[in-house]
Amino acid sequence: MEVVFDNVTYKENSRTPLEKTYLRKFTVSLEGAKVYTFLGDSKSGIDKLGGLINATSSPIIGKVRVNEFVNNGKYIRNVGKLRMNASVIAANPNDMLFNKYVKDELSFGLKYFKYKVNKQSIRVVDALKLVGLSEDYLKRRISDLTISEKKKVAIASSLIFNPEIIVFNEPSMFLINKDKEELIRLINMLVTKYKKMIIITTKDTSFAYSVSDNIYIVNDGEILARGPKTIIENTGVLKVNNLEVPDIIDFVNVSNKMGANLSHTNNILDLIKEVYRNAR
Amino acid sequence: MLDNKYFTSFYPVNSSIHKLNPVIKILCFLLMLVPIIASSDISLHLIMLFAVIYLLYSSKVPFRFYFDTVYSLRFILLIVVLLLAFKDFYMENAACIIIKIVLVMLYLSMMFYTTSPSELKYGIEKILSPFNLFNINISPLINASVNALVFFPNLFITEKRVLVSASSRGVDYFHTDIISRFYALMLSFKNTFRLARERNKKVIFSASLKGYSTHKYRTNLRTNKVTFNDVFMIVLFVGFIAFYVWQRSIS
Repeated sequence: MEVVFDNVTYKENSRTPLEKTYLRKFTVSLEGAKVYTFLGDSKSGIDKLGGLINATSSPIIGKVRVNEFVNNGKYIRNVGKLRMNASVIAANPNDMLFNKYVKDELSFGLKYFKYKVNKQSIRVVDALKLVGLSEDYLKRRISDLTISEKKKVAIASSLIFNPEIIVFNEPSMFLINKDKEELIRLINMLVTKYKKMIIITTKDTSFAYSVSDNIYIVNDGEILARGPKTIIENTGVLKVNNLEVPDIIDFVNVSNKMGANLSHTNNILDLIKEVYRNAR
Repeated sequence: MLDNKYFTSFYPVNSSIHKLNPVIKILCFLLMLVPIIASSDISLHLIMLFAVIYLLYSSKVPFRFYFDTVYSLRFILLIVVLLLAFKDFYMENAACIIIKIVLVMLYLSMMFYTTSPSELKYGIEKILSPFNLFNINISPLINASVNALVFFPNLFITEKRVLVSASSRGVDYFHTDIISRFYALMLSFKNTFRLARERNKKVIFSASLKGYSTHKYRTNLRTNKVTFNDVFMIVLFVGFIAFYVWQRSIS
């Protein structure tokens, strides 16, 4: 599986006083079952990547290639296959959920992609379990759910038809710490066990550091830095781009300045072990 | 922000028309209606049309938004022309009637694009405030009317979101033929309408939380003050009425 952005420029409200350019000469190539994270603030334009990947929006200049499909503003034949293989989960679940009941929402994709329709009832329950919700949620109205429950239903409704590429826009938004940890475990399972490509667009640097393989730092529609996740251990890069330094990296950097010899870790438990080893 | 292109939605840019007092805009519309209804002189209507086009230009709202509004009326205008031809009206009279319809639609479009819903409510309340002398509370009626107008842009915005979400999950709207697009619209219409109504209720509720009560006089913190441009507008539209009266007196 492959996602390639080839010199993409994306604008909205062209030829009006409110014209805005979100991506400028954006070029990146993503391949294989990994977690790719695009880090940037609200002005960076990273929230538009999902729409370009699943062809619900089109670039003004350049093209986006997803496996054999090319999105360059022209007609795309068999676009349903593209969208079944590249699913986008919106930052705000209210932008994505439109059915009245949870069951209708989950089974919508299965029904219209005609994917394992005969196993609909089983898949719907399994999708809820995957995101930590019980079967009781099936009969509930979407409008009665809390925002974090809606977020989980949005994730479940995208995973249910087994896409190869999953784009998460601000996945940690509206989730409490416990739910974030469950989501990290889910993402790791999707990559290692089910060989999915995960693309995350976020400004939550702590979440990105915990889960990513490769990180791209985006500012004002351009990629300013790219590399493995260790690039955000360089706090200067983050501060210049208006991004928060993860607490875990800040702690290690400050401790090392005071003479401790700690190495960077992914999560708090490993950090505690590292501190314990050093303290002896 | 392309969602603001729908008729009755507010288009927020910085222009001299946006800074006009909403009461003056509504008053000028009422003044404009006098020669539109009473006069059948094409020269006056053409002068009014050029004046309104200049106002549209000053509003800094893209012309194609106004053109879309008039273009959507093309069948109504065609029917009017055919009916008039059937009744043996002269071309000049037919053109006059068409210009009347276009003038009203263009001015109303300009008013909605350049006046926010809360300013519009304030303007209508002020115009109808004499009714308060008769102990008739007009605020709930105005609130309901403006909320009903604001519902349609909400409906279109919600429809777009639902179509994007449905397209991502198997019911395509963007890369398909017209029949499939119609099918996608029909499939999503019930949910779109329900969500738009819920959103409208939330907008009304949040407005009431900010002090927009319908039971007593509201505080309007951002109402544009009357300036030279407002006076000029009033003089211009009174001038049209004066021109009509002068024409009648000499004929």
